Amino acid sequence: MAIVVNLDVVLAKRKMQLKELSEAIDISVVNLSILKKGKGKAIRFSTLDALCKILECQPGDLLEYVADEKQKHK
Amino acid sequence: MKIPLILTGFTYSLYIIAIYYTGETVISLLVFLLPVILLVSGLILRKKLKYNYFFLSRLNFLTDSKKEIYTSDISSDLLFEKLLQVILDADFKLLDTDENNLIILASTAANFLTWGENICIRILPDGEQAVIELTSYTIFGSYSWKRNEHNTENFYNAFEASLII
Repeated sequence: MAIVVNLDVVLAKRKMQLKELSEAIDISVVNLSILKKGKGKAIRFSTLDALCKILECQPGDLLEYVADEKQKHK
Repeated sequence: MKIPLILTGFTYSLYIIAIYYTGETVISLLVFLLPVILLVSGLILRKKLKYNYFFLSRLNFLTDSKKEIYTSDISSDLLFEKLLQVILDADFKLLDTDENNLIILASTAANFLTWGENICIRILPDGEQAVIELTSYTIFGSYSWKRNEHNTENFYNAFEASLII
């Protein structure tokens, strides 16, 4: 998929653990792990809203579009 | 135990009628007690993974099963946790798990038509991906009336829906 989720990058910048984030936004660690690895099918606006609120960031900080060719080289 | 007991009660009534008309108590008792014993045994054994082989054996003509295989690009360890979550959130009841071999045993609810079926979920690691083997089987009934097919389809649909986070 061309959409890359940079949740781990934002978490590292905020020095927050996944478990802490999970408790803050009431989404399970499993689901956040799936989201972090880019294995989710879709993300709800409510989830995106909660993430941006807690992590004090913009949706563009979490989601990045990478063209398929660039992703292969990555 | 819910409504299917009515069917068991009906079976007992037939036993009483058979005695009345034939006068043979032993044969009538055997004829109607045997399926009841098999059913009760099945209801007890269904709860543990170690008795799974009993229901899935090719020699067991009293049960019906349906297997579907899917692939997922989620790693096996994460998939195991995710499928447990799917079971708890959906209309399935968790019965048993084997974390070492990545096997989950769940069941569907009983209703008027069925005692519920078991769903055995086996996760097979395949590098960064995983293969999901879903097997739905009846506890007592050599034909599932498409319930096994519906169960595997419903479970996988619930899993796919849960990937919308």
